Amino acid sequence: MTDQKIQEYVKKLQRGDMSAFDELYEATKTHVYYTILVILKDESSTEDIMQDTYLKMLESIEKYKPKRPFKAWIGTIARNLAINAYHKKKREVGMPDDAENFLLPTHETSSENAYYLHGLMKALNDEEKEVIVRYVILEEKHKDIAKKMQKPLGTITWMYQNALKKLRKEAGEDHE
Amino acid sequence: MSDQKIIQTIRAYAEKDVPDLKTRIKENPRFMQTKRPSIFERILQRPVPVFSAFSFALILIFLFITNIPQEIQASSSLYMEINPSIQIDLDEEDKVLTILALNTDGEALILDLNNLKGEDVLTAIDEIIGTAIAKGYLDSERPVVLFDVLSDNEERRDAVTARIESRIPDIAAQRLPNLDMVRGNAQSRPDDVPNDIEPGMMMRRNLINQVLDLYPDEYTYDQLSELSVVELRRIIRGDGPPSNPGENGPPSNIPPR
Repeated sequence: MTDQKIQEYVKKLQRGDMSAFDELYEATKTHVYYTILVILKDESSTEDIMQDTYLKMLESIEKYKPKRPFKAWIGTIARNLAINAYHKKKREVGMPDDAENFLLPTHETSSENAYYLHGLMKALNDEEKEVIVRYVILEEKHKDIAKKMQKPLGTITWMYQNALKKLRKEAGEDHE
Repeated sequence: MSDQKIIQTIRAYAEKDVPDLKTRIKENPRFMQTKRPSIFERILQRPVPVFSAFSFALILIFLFITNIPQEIQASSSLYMEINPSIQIDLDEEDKVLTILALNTDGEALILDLNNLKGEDVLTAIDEIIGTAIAKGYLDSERPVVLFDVLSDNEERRDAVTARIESRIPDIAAQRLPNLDMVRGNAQSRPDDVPNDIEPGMMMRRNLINQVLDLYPDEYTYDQLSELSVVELRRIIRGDGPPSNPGENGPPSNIPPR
């Protein structure tokens, strides 16, 4: 969906037309879901925070100003809620230990898509997975990824290339 | 498979794998609360009641505007970090104006307090510590309460701090002999503090959450975590809403570090 179309739905929502919610959800769900997943690295908590993100978005929709892309705006809400949840979890149960499950289908509802994605991603370590998710799905730039992951830009570029190499190999084996 | 093909495949599968939470979101009571007609629709649907209510409000404002008592500004604020985190705003005579919870445990603690408005700060501290003990917040082997006083007026701040510090041993001795009340620094920033138990850190975390509740889209957690408690409180009070938030660093009226 184009940014212009998204803005139209946002305006509808701001006018109180809730029918626009479904369209906005579909247009932003991937960005929101993976923004949270790369922070929490746990599907179940990610779903809870995703729900919170959309509710918070609806509660604050009147404050949104179109000069900023809507995806970036809702992404900030998602990121803030996810970081909050991360800190809360860290306080309650110590350091989250879900990194091993990052992008693994962990519950019964996991779809075939999740298994395929896992099949591809199983060749990568967690940091490589994060780089791939941020670059490929969230479309973040390498320099932004470097900042968020607190690593040198060269390391991120190298990790990305290395991850692609592993994925090529994995995909090749799947096809054989 | 080419790199481009791999990227496209990941994007396609990742998109399909995102759970559909629309129904769950719509069933949430918070969704129903946001489902409201716009002000214009309300006026168009029911113009007479809306305009009547509007006129009535104007009349009320006109009648009472000169008689509204001015809100008494807090002369100083005492922060207490028990694990419930609370903020006590004081007037010039160290009497309690308001008690605010800075986290959920703080809310639970406040619910059990007697009405302390107008009471002296030392009475309030005594009551708060007593309630915290009763609720089991201070039952560790070496319980610690961290506190700090903030005020725009340095003399006031020092006077309140000195008064509290001089009476703390008595309060602690009566309530809990092994209790330590330690002064922290609510103005400290993350870089200034050695570890996570510093009260400024805890207060800041609570205040960051409050700011994010008020401005969920305008600040990032990282950005707020660089501000002091005083700066965060300014934002919460409305003295420092973002000029161009989120993207361009802290608001301009927050003093530079």
